[in-house]
Amino acid sequence: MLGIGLGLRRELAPLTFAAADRIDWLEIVPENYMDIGGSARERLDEALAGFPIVTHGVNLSVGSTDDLSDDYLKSLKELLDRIDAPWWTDHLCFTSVNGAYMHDLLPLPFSKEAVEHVAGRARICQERIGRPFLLENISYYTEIPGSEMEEAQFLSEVLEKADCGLLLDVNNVYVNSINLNFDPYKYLDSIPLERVVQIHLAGHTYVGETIIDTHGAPVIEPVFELLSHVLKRTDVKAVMLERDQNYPDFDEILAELDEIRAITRNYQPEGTVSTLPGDRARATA
Amino acid sequence: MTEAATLKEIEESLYRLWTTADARRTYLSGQVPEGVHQEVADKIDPEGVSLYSSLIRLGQKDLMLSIYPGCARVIGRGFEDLIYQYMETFPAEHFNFNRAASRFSVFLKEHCQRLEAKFPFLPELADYEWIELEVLEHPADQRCAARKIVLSGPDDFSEQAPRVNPTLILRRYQYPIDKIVDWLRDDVRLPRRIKKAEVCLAVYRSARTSSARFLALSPVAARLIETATASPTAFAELVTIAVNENPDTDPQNTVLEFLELIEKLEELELLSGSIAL
Repeated sequence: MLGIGLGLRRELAPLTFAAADRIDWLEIVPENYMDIGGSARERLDEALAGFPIVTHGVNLSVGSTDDLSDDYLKSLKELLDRIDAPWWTDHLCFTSVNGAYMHDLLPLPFSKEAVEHVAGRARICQERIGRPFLLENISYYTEIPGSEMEEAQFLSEVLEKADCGLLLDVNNVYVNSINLNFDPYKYLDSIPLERVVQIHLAGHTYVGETIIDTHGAPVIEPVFELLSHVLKRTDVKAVMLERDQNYPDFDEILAELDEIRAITRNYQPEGTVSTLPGDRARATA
Repeated sequence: MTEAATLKEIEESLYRLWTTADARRTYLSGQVPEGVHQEVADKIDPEGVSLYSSLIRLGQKDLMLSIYPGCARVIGRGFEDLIYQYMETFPAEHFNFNRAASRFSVFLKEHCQRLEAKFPFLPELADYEWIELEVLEHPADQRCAARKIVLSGPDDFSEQAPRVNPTLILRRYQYPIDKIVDWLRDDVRLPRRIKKAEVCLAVYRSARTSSARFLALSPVAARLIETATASPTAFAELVTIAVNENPDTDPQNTVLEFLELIEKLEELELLSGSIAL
C-alpha cells in the first residue's frame, strides 16, 4: 500500500523532497534515469532515501509490431531492481514503428489482433521484469481505423488476457469521454475495476474544441467525481497526481494532494491507502 | 472492397501520416500517399492526422530547443522547419528521447550546405551542444573518492597515474567554438565572419555541481590528456611526453609547467585524483 503520490519532476524535486510529510510515494519516468548519471542519478538517490518509488514508462511500446527492445527491458529491470519498485507501469499504446520512436503515446486500433498482440507482449514483459506490471489507459484524440470494439472492451480484454494490473487514469477517461462522446461512468462500470492497482489524476487543457491531456492544470471536479466513483467500487493501492508543466505555487500542488487524500479517505478501508505520513513505514514494509 | 489492414500496416500508415510532411500533404489533398494503407486513408480523420502530427512536432521542437539553444539562436526563424526536416531525415532510434537529437550536427553537415556556407561553424557548434548533453547524462558514478594528487617524490611519479574525469570528451574543432559558446551565452552579437581558429576542447561534468564544463586545451595538454585517457599512464611518462613535445624549452621549466598544469587540471576537475599503478 503506497498511498497518495506525486510525479517526481526535475523542476519540483527540491520542493517535493521537502514535503515528505505530505507525499507518500513518488512516480518517476524510468527513461529519464535508465543508464543516466549526474544530476538525474543524484535526484533518484535522494528520492529513494525518502520515498517508495514506482516507474511510469513511456517507451516500452507494448503495442508496437516491432520486436521488444532487449536493451530497454534490461535497463528497465536494472532500474527497477535498484529502486525495488513494488510494480511498474507503462501505457496501452505504441510509440515506435520499424525501429523509429515517435516519442508520443499513440493509440492502437481496438481490434482482436491488437488485443492478442499486446496481451502476449505484456505477459512476456511482466515475466522478464519479474515484477507486477500495470497498463495505463491513454488519452487519444481520434478513432483509429481497424477498430472492432469499444475502448472499454479493448482495455478489459487486454488486461484479462495479459493478466496484468490496471493503472487507471481517470483524467484520461474524462478527456476521452468528452472528445469522443461517451459516458465515462458507463466506461468505468464496464472495465475490470478489481484490476486497478493505481490511479492517475491530472488536469487538462482545451485547444479549440478538443481537450488535450497536458498535465498542465489543476484537476477538475468531474474528474474527482470519477475518482470517487472508482474508489467506491474497488480497493486501490495508490493514487497519484501528475503535474508536468505550467507549474503553480507548490502549495497548490500540496493542497491538491490533500484533497485527493481526503476523497480517498472517504471510500477506502483504513489501511488500504495510506492516509498519514506515519503509514509510510508500514507501506514499504 | 478494401482489404482490411493488419496491425502492422495500420501502425506503419499512421507513422507515415503523422511524421512525414509529404505524406500528410498528399493525404490532405485527397490522395493515398505511398506507404499508407487504403483502409487507413479512407477511415482516419484528417483533423486527427493534423493533431497528432502537431503533438509529435511540439515534442520535437521542445527537445531541440532545449539541447541546441546556441544553434537555434544562430539559425533564427528557420530553426523550427529545420528541426522537422532533421527528424524526418534521422528518425529517433532510441527510447531515450534526448538521443533523438544526437545526429543534428551530421544533418547540418550533410543536408544543409547553404546554411553551412552562411555559418560554417554551425555543425561544430551543434556537435558541441550535443556532447554537453552527453557528459551531463554520462552514466559514470563520480562519487567514489579518489586520492588527491600528491607528487612529492620520484616514486610518486613512477607509481601513480592521474585519474581522468570519466565523463570527459575531447574534441578538436576548426572554429573557436569555446568563444562562440561564450558569446551566445553572454548574449553578445556574433562577428559577421568567424574565422577558423583550431581549438581542442575538453568537455566534462563537474562532480561537485553535476554541470557541464568546457576547457580549451593547449596542444601539449591535449596530448597528455589523450594519453592519460587511453590507458593509465604514470606521471613520469607524461612528463617525458611533455619534455619531448617542447624540445626548445629547458626541461626543468617544462617539468615545473607540467606540475602547474596537473594542479590546475585537478582544480578544474578534469583530473580527479590519482590511481596507483
